[in-house]
Amino acid sequence: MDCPNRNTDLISAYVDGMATSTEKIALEKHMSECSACAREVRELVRTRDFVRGLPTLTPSPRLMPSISQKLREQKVGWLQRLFWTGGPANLRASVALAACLVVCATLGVVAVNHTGTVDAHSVVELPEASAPMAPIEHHDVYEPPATTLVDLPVDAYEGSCALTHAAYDRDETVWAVDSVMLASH
Amino acid sequence: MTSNDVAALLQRAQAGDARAFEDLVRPHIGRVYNYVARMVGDASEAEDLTQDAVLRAHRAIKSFRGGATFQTWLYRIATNICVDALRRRARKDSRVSSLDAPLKADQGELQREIADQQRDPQDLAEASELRGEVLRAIAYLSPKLRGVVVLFDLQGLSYEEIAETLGLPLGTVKSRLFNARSRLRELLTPYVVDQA
Repeated sequence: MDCPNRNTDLISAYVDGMATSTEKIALEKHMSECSACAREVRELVRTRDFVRGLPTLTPSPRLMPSISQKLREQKVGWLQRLFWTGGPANLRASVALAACLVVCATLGVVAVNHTGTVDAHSVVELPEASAPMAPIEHHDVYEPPATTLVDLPVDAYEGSCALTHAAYDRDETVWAVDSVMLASH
Repeated sequence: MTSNDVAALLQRAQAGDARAFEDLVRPHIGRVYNYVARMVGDASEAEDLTQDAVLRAHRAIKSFRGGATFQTWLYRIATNICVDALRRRARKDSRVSSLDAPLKADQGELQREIADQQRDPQDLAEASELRGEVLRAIAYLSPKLRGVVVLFDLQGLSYEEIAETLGLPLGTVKSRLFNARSRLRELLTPYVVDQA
């Protein structure tokens, strides 16, 4: 017969070994008078002990060397090191910097070809420098793809998405060089 | 390894030092493996999944902010890997999808899981009737309940660490643990009831 005063929180804490001494005394006193609760606790403790009695499994000795090898294969490319050292914000800053460098270098080459020397006039005649920056705006509207796991949101998944995000951006800006490393995921 | 050592390794790992990452992760491999093996119930598959978890952690190491311990972060990744694997398995064979079903409903699947368990010599040592029943009962828990009971009873994590690992409120961890125990008690009735 069920106990009308059954307290599952207290029983649970008792079985988990997390009950305070006051709670323990209270439950033990109750169990001395209630056979239903006493039986439930005994059976739950037995169940717990069966689970805890399972031996610890150890991996084969080849697991760690195999992981080490995979880690070496998963080396980060130099371009990714350059552009992916601090998350999306830093990526955007790196992209902007790289785009500026490319524009400056182009301006310099054109200026030298035009006059033989670099001067202020040759720079003024060139097209707007903002055009190559267009891909960066894509970051502002991009939404990372949904993860496949919905009930266990984790940092790691956020990390994975961020990498995917980076890969997507790189595809968009024709930086296919990093796609191999990311595709291996 | 002191917390300062861990912090230094973490910093180097986040800067792209693969060797530092390896040193950081090595002390946790055995525990993560045991967790994964108990979650998926297959020692051989557990090695692949443990490796996947470590590689995923390596790819995401820069996103580790230190809000959680490295160990719970690693368990969190391993949990997701296990859930993915269990979902793939469920899709592969719809009979496995109902992990909460009564024992008699899925006899065929039960047999297959026992065979998987016994592939590894270490699993053979567990082949006693009671251990077999306990493993079977754990396999019948839903992944949500199984994760909590494995983390608490086999991995020795506290309520708080489990809450951090699974991203759950503390109360949910406690109630899931109670529900998991109650379900196991039900599944193991012949072994836990009073003989008198």
